[in-house]
Amino acid sequence: MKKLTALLLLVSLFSCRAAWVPPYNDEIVTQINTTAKTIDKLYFEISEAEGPQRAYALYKDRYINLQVELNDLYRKEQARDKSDELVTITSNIIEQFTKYKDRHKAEDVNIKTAVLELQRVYLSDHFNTLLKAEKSLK
Amino acid sequence: MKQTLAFSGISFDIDATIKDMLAAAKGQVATGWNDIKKTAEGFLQNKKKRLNMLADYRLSNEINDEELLSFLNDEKTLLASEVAALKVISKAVAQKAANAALDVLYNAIKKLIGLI
Repeated sequence: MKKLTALLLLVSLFSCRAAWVPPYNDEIVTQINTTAKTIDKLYFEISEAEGPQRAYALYKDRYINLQVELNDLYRKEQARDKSDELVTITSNIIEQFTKYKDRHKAEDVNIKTAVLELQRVYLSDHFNTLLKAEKSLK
Repeated sequence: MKQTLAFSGISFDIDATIKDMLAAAKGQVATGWNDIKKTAEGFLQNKKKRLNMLADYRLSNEINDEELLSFLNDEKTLLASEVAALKVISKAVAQKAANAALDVLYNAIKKLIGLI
């Protein structure tokens, strides 16, 4: 009887484990890294291009693909329990990405090299923030 | 006064168990605090780098006032993300500390059951 009581206590203790953040997800970390690299590459290539080769139309499909990837990441974060802060960060990244994409669309071939570099750095640092948060779940 | 629990002739030392639980939690918090500190310092270093870039580009007229203000606005968004990230990291540290303490208790009771 006493052994049973101790066993029941053990079982209830084990089910009382703290869970204040979602479990670590390697797939999501990989997706964050890959998306960050793809965005980096996009901005480096636009920066290297000159004049008409900077036209938004030449990069439109790549922007669309990245938007799809970011939305997918956002949905994955939303689906996790206790992921409010991760959803906030991902939402902020999407907001920045869209703002920069729209700027390129508006300025087209006239988009400045300095602006492209700043956009690349801001997005990269934003992804770094998300990655730090995700890796802490390990 | 030493707190013990008599269980079928076996003595369960509550004081020692609690001491071990606290040590386990403290260990996790110490490691975790270093991670939080390093992360926050990293964020600040990146912020410094970005602000220097903005200043350099503005001074060399590679960006105008409107563009400068736009990126300074982006700093606010990034700061919000950094705060959110530090919240996640802090919660993860607290979770590891709490579960480390629970593991000590769990193992102590397992040991007790094994002795009964």
